[in-house]
Amino acid sequence: MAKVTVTASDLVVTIEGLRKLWTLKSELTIPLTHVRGATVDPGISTRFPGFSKVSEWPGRKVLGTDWYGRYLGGTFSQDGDRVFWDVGNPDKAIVITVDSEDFTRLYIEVDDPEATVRAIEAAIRDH
Amino acid sequence: MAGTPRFDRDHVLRVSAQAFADRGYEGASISHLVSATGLLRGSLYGAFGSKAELFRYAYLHATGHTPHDDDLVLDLTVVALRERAAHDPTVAARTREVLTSLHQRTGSASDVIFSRLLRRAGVAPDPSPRRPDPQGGNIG
Repeated sequence: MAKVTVTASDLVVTIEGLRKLWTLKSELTIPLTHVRGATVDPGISTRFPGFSKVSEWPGRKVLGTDWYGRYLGGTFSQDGDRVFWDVGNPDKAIVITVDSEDFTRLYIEVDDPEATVRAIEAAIRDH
Repeated sequence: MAGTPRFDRDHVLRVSAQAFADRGYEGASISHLVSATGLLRGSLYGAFGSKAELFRYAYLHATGHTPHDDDLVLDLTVVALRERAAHDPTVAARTREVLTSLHQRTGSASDVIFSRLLRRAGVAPDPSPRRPDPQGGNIG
């Protein structure tokens, strides 16, 4: 589970509990000017969808934890994009797209996906 | 696969607009949009950033290419009013333009939208207010 907070200039994603170890990150800070958007997306999957859909699979682990189908945490390479995962239960997943050197997308799990997405949207709009 | 996105943007915006018009903004999940557009999830996020941005472009596209009294535009405008205009200034501005142009074209934007809502729901509007029987008589 991650917590998203918005400061005057940044979006801060704080990784909580043991997942700090699994993702090998405790915090990601992204300038608001580099945040493109956020979306509630319970349809993402941490499992390998089969050989006919190789391009839809969640990615190859670069650094972190890959319990495919149960939990993904850390840095992954997904169809050429570098993405960050911290998702066990996709029901609470949101996707944040960013223009950053480190990642193009963050797949994270938060307590209240709708409220978090609305807060990120408002932060981008008002910035 | 990786690299430059190669897809028909017009087509993606058209089918996304239809999905939003049919299901509403919250009701149209990314999974629905992925299967409607035929894009991969990653490409959809790469091209549009978020569902909010996809809705914004789909609405601008539909209202830019389709007459404003078309059902698609009316349905999308209802979705925009209910779910997006309060959060997205671009959508709010376009909604205002659509309502203004509907008003100029038809005399009453609210009548056009209301009758579309009734038609969509399959609720036939009462054709005319009840009048007394012109034949009269036979009372009591």
